[in-house]
Amino acid sequence: MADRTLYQRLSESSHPVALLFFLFFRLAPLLVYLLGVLFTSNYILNFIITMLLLAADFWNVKNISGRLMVGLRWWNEANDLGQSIWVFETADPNRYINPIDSKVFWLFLYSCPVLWLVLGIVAMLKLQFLSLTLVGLAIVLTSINALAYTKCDKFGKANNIASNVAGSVASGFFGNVGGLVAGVFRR
Amino acid sequence: MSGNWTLDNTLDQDESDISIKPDIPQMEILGNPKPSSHRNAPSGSLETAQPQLTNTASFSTFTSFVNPQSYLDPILENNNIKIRENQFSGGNTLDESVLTTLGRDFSSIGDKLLSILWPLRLRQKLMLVRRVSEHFSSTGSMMGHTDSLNQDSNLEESTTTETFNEYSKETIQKILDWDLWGPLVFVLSFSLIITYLQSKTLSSGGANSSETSQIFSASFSLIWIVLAVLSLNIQLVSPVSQMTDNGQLTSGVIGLSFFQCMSILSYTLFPIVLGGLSSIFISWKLLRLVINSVMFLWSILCSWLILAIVNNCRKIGTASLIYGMAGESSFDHNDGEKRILLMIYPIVLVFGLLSWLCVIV
Repeated sequence: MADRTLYQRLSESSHPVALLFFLFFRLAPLLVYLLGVLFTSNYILNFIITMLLLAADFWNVKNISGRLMVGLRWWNEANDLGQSIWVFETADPNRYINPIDSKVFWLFLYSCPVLWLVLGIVAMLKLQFLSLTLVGLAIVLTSINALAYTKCDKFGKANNIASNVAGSVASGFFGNVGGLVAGVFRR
Repeated sequence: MSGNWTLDNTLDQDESDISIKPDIPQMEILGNPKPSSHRNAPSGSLETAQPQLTNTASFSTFTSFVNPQSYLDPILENNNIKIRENQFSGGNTLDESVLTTLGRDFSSIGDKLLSILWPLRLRQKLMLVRRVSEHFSSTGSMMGHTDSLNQDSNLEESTTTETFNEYSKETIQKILDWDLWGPLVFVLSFSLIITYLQSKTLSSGGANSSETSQIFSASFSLIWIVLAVLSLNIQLVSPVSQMTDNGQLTSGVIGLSFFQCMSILSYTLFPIVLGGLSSIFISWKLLRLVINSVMFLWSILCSWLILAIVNNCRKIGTASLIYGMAGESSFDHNDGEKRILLMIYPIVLVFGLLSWLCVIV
């Protein structure tokens, strides 16, 4: 019953494939980290697979899920002086953001770092320092995404308000990004 | 800090010739009240927008990055303009397909690979860097600031500068702009190759699947650890910034960071990956030896050239040329030349070992 309603709810999503991939890549590293020992006795292999899944999750959330599910995107680039620049991209405010997509996205965006943090505390209490490095990597990767999307969301909202009030503002090269983003985008 | 960045207009002039596309340009400058005269018509392309802005650019500082004058002489302009981005997607990267995203990421890896692994072009670049730095050390060694260097309009100097900028700024930028996706791809593929090769060797003596996974995990972690150690070595060996007589710091400008070293090293690992891939198909040992040693030499040559370029950039004036950093120049002790060997030697050992692993099957 509950399963069915969940299915119905999820099928209301406007990007079901992106949603499924998002859920898969968010949960797979956790599952492999927790249950991987059951399938293979090789700890290092487990470690590597979890790491690869984490990297895939990072890429997926950063490049695919964010823009399809909530219409946000961020990236980071270094300028000539070696300073890092955050670039945020927000969708047109008139664009319809599916509530299911957005709820699932924000829920998992914030719950994953917390879950990894809990696992990190457990690993620290059990004095498993090798897994602690893995959990540390996971915390870093997931919380980078969480932080960046939080900033991006705030930024977009502020911009929408500002642009509603003031209209469009003077130009610069980052403004007319259109085709330029392709050249600038790096990771 | 969110959303405020300092932008350098040397970055900008690279972009400004790409961005011919008509779009809705929107940008807001911090601390500057928005003058209504700078508002563009939303449908206006850059060509139409530019003359309109040039008129106002002479008295307002912030329009200098759309000013054609800044394109001609980037170093004279003041840097560090704070810009806050305000951008709607005019149907750009937010709506692209997944394949486009994937393709762009892979093509950026390939792009960087080409610019790192093409020794002839690298050598050309090295020559250019040397020439420019020698030029500067002969003519302008007394001058502390590049501002004054640029203001006397030496014709020869400006031509050298232009060719130099044209050739290497973009590529050096590309080299120094690190990412860890390329390294992940290369290390993963190389450890898969080694796993395949070694397990094939072992299977004649009877190897099972657990040994295969052990080989894979060992080689994967070994390569990462080795790359980390090598880049740590480069960081430790490379000249540190020192206090000079006039109280400035030397060569703090292009010091390679740890991740930059990792990125460069793993991109230079690529020929060895190719060698390993070829030795899967070649069963004749002598030919394998030849191919792998050629690939090994290729990657060593590339990493040597890159390190040489980066270390030569520490000379007078060159750093400020590449980076458009006015007022940051100072004299250099030129330690880089002597220490390259120290950086290269461990790389030779490790890469030699890795390619030797591909030869013995």
